[in-house]
Amino acid sequence: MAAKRTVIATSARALGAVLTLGAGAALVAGAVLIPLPSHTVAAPSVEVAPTPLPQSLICAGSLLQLSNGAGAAATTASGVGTPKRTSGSDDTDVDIVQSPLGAPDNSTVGNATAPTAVTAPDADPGVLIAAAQSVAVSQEDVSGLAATNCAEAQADTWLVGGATTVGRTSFVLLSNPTEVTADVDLSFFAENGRLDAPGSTGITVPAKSQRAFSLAGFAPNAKYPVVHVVSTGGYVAATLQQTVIRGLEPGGVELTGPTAAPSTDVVFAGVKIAGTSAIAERLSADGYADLQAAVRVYVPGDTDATITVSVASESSGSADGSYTLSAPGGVVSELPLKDLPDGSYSVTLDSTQPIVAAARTSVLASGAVDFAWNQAAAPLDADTLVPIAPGPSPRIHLANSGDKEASVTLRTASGNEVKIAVPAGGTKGLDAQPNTVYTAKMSSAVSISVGYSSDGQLSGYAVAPPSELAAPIIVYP
Amino acid sequence: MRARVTVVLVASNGADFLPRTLDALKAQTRQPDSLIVVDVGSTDSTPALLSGAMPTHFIQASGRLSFGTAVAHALGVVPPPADENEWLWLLAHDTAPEPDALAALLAAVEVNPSVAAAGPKQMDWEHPDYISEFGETLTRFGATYAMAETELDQAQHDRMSDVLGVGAAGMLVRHTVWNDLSGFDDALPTADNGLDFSVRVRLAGHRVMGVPAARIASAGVGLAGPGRSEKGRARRKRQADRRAAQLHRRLVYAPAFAVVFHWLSLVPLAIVRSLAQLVRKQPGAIGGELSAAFRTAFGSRVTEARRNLRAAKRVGWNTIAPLRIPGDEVRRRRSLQREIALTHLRGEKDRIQFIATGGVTTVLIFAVLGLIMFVPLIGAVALKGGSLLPVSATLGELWSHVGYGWRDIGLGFVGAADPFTTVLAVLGSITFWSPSLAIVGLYLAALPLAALAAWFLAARLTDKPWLRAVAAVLWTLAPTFLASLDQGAVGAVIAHLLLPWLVLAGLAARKSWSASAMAAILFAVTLAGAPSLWPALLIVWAVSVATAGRNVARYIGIPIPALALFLPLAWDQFRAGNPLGLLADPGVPVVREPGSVLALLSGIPDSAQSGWTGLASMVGIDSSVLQIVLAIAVVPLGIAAVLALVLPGPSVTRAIVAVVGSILGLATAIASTRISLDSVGADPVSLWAGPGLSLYWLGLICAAVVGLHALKRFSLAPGFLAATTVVVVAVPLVASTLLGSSAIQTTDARLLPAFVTAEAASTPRVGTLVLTPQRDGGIKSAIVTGTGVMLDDQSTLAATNRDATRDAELADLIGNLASQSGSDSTPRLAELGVEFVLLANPPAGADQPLVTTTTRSTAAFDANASLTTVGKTFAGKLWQITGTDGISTLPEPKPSNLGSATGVLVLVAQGIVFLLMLLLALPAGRLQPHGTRAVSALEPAGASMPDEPDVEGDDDDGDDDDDDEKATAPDGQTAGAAGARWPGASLGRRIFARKPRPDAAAEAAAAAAAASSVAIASAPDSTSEGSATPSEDTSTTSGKEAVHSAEAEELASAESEDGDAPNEGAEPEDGTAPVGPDESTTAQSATEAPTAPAVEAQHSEPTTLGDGPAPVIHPGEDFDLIGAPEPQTALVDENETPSLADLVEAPASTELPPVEAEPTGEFVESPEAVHEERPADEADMTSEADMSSEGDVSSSEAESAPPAEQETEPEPAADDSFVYTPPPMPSPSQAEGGTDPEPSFSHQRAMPDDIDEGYDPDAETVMRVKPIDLSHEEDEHDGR
Repeated sequence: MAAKRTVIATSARALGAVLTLGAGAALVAGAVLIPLPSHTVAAPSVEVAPTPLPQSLICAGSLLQLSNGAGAAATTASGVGTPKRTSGSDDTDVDIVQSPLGAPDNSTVGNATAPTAVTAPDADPGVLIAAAQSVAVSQEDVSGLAATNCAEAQADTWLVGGATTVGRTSFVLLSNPTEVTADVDLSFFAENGRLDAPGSTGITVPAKSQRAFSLAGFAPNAKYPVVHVVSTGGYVAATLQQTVIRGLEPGGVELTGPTAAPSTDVVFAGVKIAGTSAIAERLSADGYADLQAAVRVYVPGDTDATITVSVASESSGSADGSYTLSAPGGVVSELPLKDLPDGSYSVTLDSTQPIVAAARTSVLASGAVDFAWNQAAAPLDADTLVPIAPGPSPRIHLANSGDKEASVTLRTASGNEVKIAVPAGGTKGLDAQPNTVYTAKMSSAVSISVGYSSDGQLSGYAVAPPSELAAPIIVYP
Repeated sequence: MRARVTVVLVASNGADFLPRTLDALKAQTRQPDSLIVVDVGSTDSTPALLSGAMPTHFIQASGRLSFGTAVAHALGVVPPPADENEWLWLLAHDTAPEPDALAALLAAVEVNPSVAAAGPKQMDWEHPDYISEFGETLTRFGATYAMAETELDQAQHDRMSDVLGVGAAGMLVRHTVWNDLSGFDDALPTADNGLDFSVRVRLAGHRVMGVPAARIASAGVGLAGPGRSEKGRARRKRQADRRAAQLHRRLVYAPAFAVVFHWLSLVPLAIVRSLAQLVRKQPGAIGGELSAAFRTAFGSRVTEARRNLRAAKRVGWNTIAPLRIPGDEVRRRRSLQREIALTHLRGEKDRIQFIATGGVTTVLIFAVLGLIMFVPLIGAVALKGGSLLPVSATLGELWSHVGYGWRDIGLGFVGAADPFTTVLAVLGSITFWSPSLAIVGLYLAALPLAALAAWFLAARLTDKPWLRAVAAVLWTLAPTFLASLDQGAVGAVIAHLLLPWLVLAGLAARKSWSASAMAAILFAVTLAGAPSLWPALLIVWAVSVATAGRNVARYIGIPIPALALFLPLAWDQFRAGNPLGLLADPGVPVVREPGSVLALLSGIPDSAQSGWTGLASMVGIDSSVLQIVLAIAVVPLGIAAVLALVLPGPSVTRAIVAVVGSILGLATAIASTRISLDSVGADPVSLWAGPGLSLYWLGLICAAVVGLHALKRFSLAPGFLAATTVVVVAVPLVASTLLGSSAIQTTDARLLPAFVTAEAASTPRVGTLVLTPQRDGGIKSAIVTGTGVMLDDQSTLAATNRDATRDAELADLIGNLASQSGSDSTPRLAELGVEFVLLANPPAGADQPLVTTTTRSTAAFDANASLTTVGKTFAGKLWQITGTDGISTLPEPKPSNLGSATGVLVLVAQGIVFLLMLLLALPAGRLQPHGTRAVSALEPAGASMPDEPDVEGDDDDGDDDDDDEKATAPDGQTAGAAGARWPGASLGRRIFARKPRPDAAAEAAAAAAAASSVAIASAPDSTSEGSATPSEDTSTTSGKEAVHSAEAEELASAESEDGDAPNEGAEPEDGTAPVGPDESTTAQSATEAPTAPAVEAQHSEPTTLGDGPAPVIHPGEDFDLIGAPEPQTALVDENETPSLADLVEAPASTELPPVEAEPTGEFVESPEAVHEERPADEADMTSEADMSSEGDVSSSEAESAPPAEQETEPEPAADDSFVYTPPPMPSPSQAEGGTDPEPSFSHQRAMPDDIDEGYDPDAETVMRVKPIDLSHEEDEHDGR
């Protein structure tokens, strides 16, 4: 009896042991082999589209020159030329107000030449406005066309352009349209890397005013300067003005707006190559080297960037070819755009490192020289206004850096419409009506710029997207 | 004049007992004159049996009448008594008188005309050598006090005569007196019916006496008296009845003016006593306590009873005062039992040998390691990082976050706090001057505490010292524990520290209420720290309940405190439709990448692989390879655990339990990694797998210890291998705090920039919006009040439930604030109470979207005219909202936890639950004889963990419990009754009782030698046991013999080596008293004294058979079963196990009653207690102490004090070694012999057998001490 009990007990224990081990093995096997269900609570996030601010665009105003154009000792700047502005809205009922900003650094400023804030104070939020200005001057020391988009003030902008070598005068214009004082820190980079520039930090730009600084004061004798503008407090719209005089021959003038923030993909639309043969003749002459069309690239990091340059011409509409260059890290370099026949091109840089870049082209015709800086044009996929400032032969350039064809509709305020297809990787251009604001609708992202050219006059500007600061943001409350 | 006796026999479904009762009645040497039988609603063959007895009257009552009422009914059919010589003999169906019982009773009352009621000595039904009841008295405060309960009849009570009360069963009462007093009180159906009647008899001017010569067997079914059933329900009912009876008597006996006060005190007193019952580990008595109070308060017929009492009362209360038992005697008896308990305790404590087997060393080593590991934390005031934050700075604040009320997190809301907050509050109260310090302390002490817990748990599983140490190492350096410490998961740390104790308490709960309550509290605290363990622990609990058998009551309540703690939160979560949210980890939600299944199998909760990932990547080891390597490190431990399952033998059962627990833990851990209830920014927060892994690890360790233990001497190498590999795995985590790679860091308890803190000093409710840019370019927001959110502010309710509307509004405000926007958020933020905006610094090497968002937000804030830059701080960049007028503050934290009815209700309910549990858990019972269970609640077992295989395995536990149940029966009375069922049950116990026999024999021999001449003469008479012939045989012996006997006494006591101290003290006094220069040298004394030698004479016969400690055979008794030699050998056998020897001997020397030299059946007549003032009765009560000389023959009711009284007059105050020597309470309950041949008694197991492979400390600690029912004395109210 007892023996029987023992047997039963032993068997029960053995069975229990086997079952237990089996359960353990089953659990592990199940956990490994079977996709277990899981319970995950979605993160409570809300994408907030900030209430659109009534746009405020800053037009840089007249060009500046030191009071005595040739005088090296001159410290006071005075205005040159009178800007012509075009502004418009996608809502025709909106009243656009242009109010001049203070310009303490311009000794000859007047209402017409002052930097101007273009706003639509009564507009509903979301109403787009756009403005552009152009200044054409033809003096014995300053001549050329400088057209710029009137840009939004921003906190963080990059200016690529200018030079402070002999005969090159560059100004950094900082316009603060806001109600608060902006504290601006400028950083300068050039062919030797970052420049130590005393006094470049903590620059105060009073509310509703524009300050102008000679780039030479911070970055003397720099061939390829790049300026990084960071403002705290109020935002600033930064513009770079460059005038060139070679000996006694005026070499052109340009106002350059901000280019795109460091990125690995940079697109220039409407890079206008003209008078290549005439330029080629002059290039070898002293001081004329910068007539060469080139892309100025700054690689913010320490790592060298390998950049693939793709060029597409408007005549063919599609990509023409590409080549690879390398840009050293931490310094500014210029990559020449060689062997391009006359025409309008889109240039796409595909870099291994984030870069900031701008493209410079020149025109030499009838003895007159001018140059233009093309800013990187961010791809735009929402409705955008394209303002066409008064100027010679305005042309809208569309570049599609995406991988599918984009269809763009351009419409004037009066209702005229043009539809244009831009092939993937290609570029298209069409002549525009001066003093008009087009509304562009696109099926997919395209970069847009506006170019002007005539004999001895060359300029252009990229159409910038609305400020990054107003982009929707995900909030996890 | 011949007395006329009417027998009233009440029967109710008593067919099992009736035949013997009726036969006994027929066999009476003095036949009663008439027999009235009352059948109370019987449904069996009782009526037939009754009618077969040819009663004079046969009355059938249908209802459930009480004994007293049935008797009253019966008397309705007889004519009223003609004279004083008519007697009633009250019998129940379970009272079988011995043949000469009636004769003895009548003899007693005939010689004592003033006696109106006489009670026989009630013997056990099946074991007639055990007294079950004989004589009752009251304490000074009116509690019933049994003068004899369940003890071996060694004639120790045979001098008893005048008593305050006698039991109802077998009571012989004068019919006239019965009628005068209206019989028994209807309100006392069982308990105290006889006593109350006796008291009234006394108050009516009569006497009540116990007649030891009259013996009736009583089965104690509960008809005539309270019964002696051991079943839990009956026991509790009896307890309640007794209490109700006492309360009823209190109201009845009290002077008129006091009745109201007594009445008013009933319920409050019941509540207080209920708490006391909890402390005494008798929660089962609470119901009875309350019901007794209410029954008495509202259902008792006090008025009628008072009228009855008043009507018959002839003398004052002071006349019965001398018959009460003095308080100091009660106390003395109690203290003796305490002493016994302590003796046992001392024997118990060293069993685990904490010091000797390396426990202290282990803990100390880990204490040092803990200090080294957390060196950077020494001197810190607070910790933060991971799930950790400092707790509130003041105790008041800390406690105000407990319960239900305002949760001050974010914009705040009203809801239930995390149960963990309560744990924090208790923890913080330890370092009340700086509550955060407690958490630092917890870190510093975590390692030794874990080692301690594991060591004690292992000590329960093995007696191998090094194996215990291995278990401590494995548990303390468990990767999950170290990872929890590393990650600041305090809740998981606490759970890890408590799990071993929970297991220990849970195991001990089988036998101890204290352990049960302790387990309940540990259960609650563990779950508060690690709610993810709920499912696993509930399963474990359910299995425990299902397998607990009769101990189910001690398991069923274990989740109660946890439920009380979680209920408010559960309610809130259910209302929010998120019941899973209950499982969320308390503390700051932290995103941790959960480990893979392989990692979990290695006991590693997170994908950081316990710090190995970084090391491995340095060396270039792939993560998957690393996982496999780490898993291999745990393989030895796993093999040891599996070994436990495969090795044959009884240990398999516990190995299965351990491994099943381990599987539950692993399942919990795996499930934890699949559940995320919360998110931090864009990242979901999955449950921390740590607690589940702790359970997994615990099961593994237990199984491994069992397995290694079973390997015997081959276990050393595998054990150390298992420990070593785990130690290696633990290295990076051990070093992480030192190296600074740990998530936790010291802090000065400042969480926000000083600017905000300063502002908060003046505006405590100032709000700060803390924004943290996220990886995906999003931005996380939190609103922080005052100086910052503390750990005790955290709320899983808030974390797991979102108010979508409020979220949307906040998100809109923040989105616009962090953008160039057309709508300014600052006025609305200010309105909400936000004054500061803090943008967290981006971590080094952050992703581009995060940096972009930081830049954008910075720019937006900078550009906002309403925001003033304060500056960069350690926590980030700070802005202040200045542009709007009238900054509000965040809403006041109202209602506080005491501010709303719900809050108060929650706190009160939780407080009560925990208070009761704490009371129940308190080891207060340890010094009470029947509370000894409490002693071992958490005390792991001793060093005597048997290596020898267990004979019976786990099946034994059931029996064990039974024993225990009885031995520690909550109620003194019941325990007494319990004892009554055992008499003779086990030979071992008899042996126990008999143990001091040698002494007795020696004494007896000496006494006999001294008085041999007389002895011969009187021997024949005395041998005729039970024939209570009134002592006509006034022998011719003179006082001289008394002197002789006294000398004999002294001699005997001198010889007795381990004689009872009180007894020794008493003997000389007893002995010398007769010859002392007392005023009572009357003729009576002379006639009384001689019987003493006569008594001795009985012994002289046996003692001549052997020398010295020869066994004493009582001639008249049936002692042949336990002849002296056998017990001796039995003892020797048992002594082989030292622990048993301790147990056997210690109580024997301490508790055994003084040796009775008196035979039971001789002609002992009590010293006359005619003078009620005289303490004669007390003297009687001391009968155990009297060795020899009081066997006086009381021949008359002489009014003058007979010398016997003087002889025996105790002087308790002067000599407390005398008088109420404790009755032989241990004897019935104490000993258990394994040699008991009688299978029908469940009480067979001796201690050593108890120690199965899981040796059960409880079983060892339980003392078989016959409890005194303290409940009767604790009530310090004058109830008379």
